[in-house]
Amino acid sequence: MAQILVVEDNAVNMRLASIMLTRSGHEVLGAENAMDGIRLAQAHRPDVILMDIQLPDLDGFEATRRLKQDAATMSIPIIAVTAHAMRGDESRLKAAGCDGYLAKPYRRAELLEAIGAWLQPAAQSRAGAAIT
Amino acid sequence: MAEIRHHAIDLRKLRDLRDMLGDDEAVLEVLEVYSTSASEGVQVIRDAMERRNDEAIGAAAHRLKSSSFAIGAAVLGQLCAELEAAAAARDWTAIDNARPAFEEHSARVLSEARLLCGIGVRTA
Repeated sequence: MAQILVVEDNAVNMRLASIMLTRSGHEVLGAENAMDGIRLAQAHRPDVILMDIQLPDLDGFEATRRLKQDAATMSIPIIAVTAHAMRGDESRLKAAGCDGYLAKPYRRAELLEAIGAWLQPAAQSRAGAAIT
Repeated sequence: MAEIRHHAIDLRKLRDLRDMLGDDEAVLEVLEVYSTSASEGVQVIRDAMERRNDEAIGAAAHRLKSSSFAIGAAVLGQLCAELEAAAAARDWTAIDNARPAFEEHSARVLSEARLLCGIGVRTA
């Protein structure tokens, strides 16, 4: 089981992600805006963050930049969730520090695949940190 | 599943959701969240239209668009996409022209969503 932070201002999308993740055995932390997401990430250090890009306060690009500049959160994989399938988005997401991205609407298999790619490295990294 | 003529919410999409989420209870949970948030969203858009606030229309239409497509209310989702684009362009003629269809379809979708929540969702 992993702890996933979902930063999403849309209540329906939040509930969909929450149901898919909890029914797959994961624990979900939810934040409705970027600042709450940053605070929860700093407090809980989740295994993966799902970051919506269009948020009401800071956008997901800026929230990701802040998390990647903070020593406490910089190693947490951040998967951008975006409805913007525009050319150039991928390079902007990478430049902001996103480790992957997921286009809305997504299916459960796509969500779990995107998260699963980061769970093992995250667990190994934590184990390594504990050893050293 | 209740029989509703000319569904504003596509029942096939609800079945897809059931398959994706696991069971009808999960679909009901999502529909309940949608009913509350969409009702608020429609009111926000309506108020913003009255105040001629295109920025607020765009933000609320964006949220309602995404939610509506997610539960199979594609016509309302498309109307929200048009409103969002018109708001971004500050095209008040397009916004005013879209309003009657938006009011009609949002009322139908909310009515069906509440009905489905009230009687329970059975997608099988």
